This record gives sequence, C-alpha cells and structure tokens, in this order.
Amino acid sequence: MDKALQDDFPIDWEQDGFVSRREFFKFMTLASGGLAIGSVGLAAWSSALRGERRFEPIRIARLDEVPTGTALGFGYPRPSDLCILVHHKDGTLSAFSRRCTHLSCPVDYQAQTERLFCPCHNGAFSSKDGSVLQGPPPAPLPRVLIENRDGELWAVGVVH
Amino acid sequence: MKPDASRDRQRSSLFVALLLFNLVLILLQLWLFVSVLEGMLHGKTAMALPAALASVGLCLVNVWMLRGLSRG
Repeated sequence: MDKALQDDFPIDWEQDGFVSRREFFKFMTLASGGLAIGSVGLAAWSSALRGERRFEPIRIARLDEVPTGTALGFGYPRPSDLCILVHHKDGTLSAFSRRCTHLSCPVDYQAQTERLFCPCHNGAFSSKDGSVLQGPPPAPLPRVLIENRDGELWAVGVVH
Repeated sequence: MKPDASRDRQRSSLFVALLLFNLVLILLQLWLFVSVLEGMLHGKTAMALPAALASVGLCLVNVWMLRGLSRG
C-alpha cells in the first residue's frame, strides 16, 4: 500500500521546501516576539494618547460674540476636528470635542438642561465637565483648553 | 522495541507537547493584543501596560523553551 502510494505520489522532501518541527517552533517564537513588540507599542501609544496635549493655538471668537447660555462650534486642532465652546449661564466657559465617544456623531448643546446631546443614540454629556450623563457613550468627551486673551478666546490644547 | 527507538518516541512526544504549549501561549498573546486594541478604540487604556508586560513574559517563556530545545 505504502509502496504503491509512493509510486503514485513520489515526494522528494529535499525539493519540497520541507519545514521541520524545530523550524516551525522557531517561526512561532518569532511570531510571539512580534506580538510582544506590538503589545508594547500599543502600551506606548496609549500612554501618549492620555493626558494633556498642546497644539498650535487658534483664535475661536471674541467673548462678546458668544452670549451666555449659547454655544459655538469650531475646529481644533485641525479645522476638521469638530469642537464646541459653551458659555454657561454663570459666565464660565468650557469647550469639548464635538464627536460623541460612542460612534463619533456630532453632539449639540441643549441650553435648558445644560448638556451636550448626541441625537444618534440619545447619549448625553455634561456641558460643564464632559462626563457621560446617559446613553451608550463609553467615555467622557475630550476637553479643549481655552484661554481668554484680552477678551478673545483661544484654544490651546486638548485633554483626554 | 530498541531502547533508542523508545527514547526517540518519548522525545518526539515531548516536542509535540512543547509545540502545543507554544501555540497556546501565542493564542494568549493574540487575545491580549486584540483585547487591548478593542479597549483602546473604546477609549479604555488601563489594560495596555499590564497586557504588554504579560505578553513580554509569555514571549520570554517561548524563547526559554526554544533555547531548551536547541540545547537538547
């Protein structure tokens, strides 16, 4: 049987690119090293994402252009990065990324309830600190750092 | 059965066992990597460092086994 099989399907192992078990073990250990390096890279990336990051400051608006109880949209650090500035009724200011942390829908300011509402899945964030008030968002909104320079409002950084 | 043949079969079984253990450790590393990546996409980064340390540890176990095989 074996003889007949070998006659029908002759395999020259030397010519066949034969991979020994030992070589396979080496290859798998190499893959293990690759995964370890990838995990370390992810950890480094995550630590870089956390905390405060400063970008090139951009002017948003004059303070008197944003009445209390209203909000103004702007882009920071790039024009395509949607953010929202809220001028609270008590006179304080806060700004956040406008992208919902659930599925990146833009949030809207609701003055009556003083919250940032995501219409896609009814998520809501506090307009004071960006924390999640309701719905599926898994994380607070990133905060945009604002500076008041002689009555002009500037965005200077982002805190994750 | 000759003693040498018996010893070879024993070594072969041991090799296969180590290879399977190696595969299990790599699957664990893969699971850690994907879990961390998924968590990061949801804004959760707390597990990234412990998972990286665990992954490096598992890799060192694999390297240790490979070195043992190379000596044997």
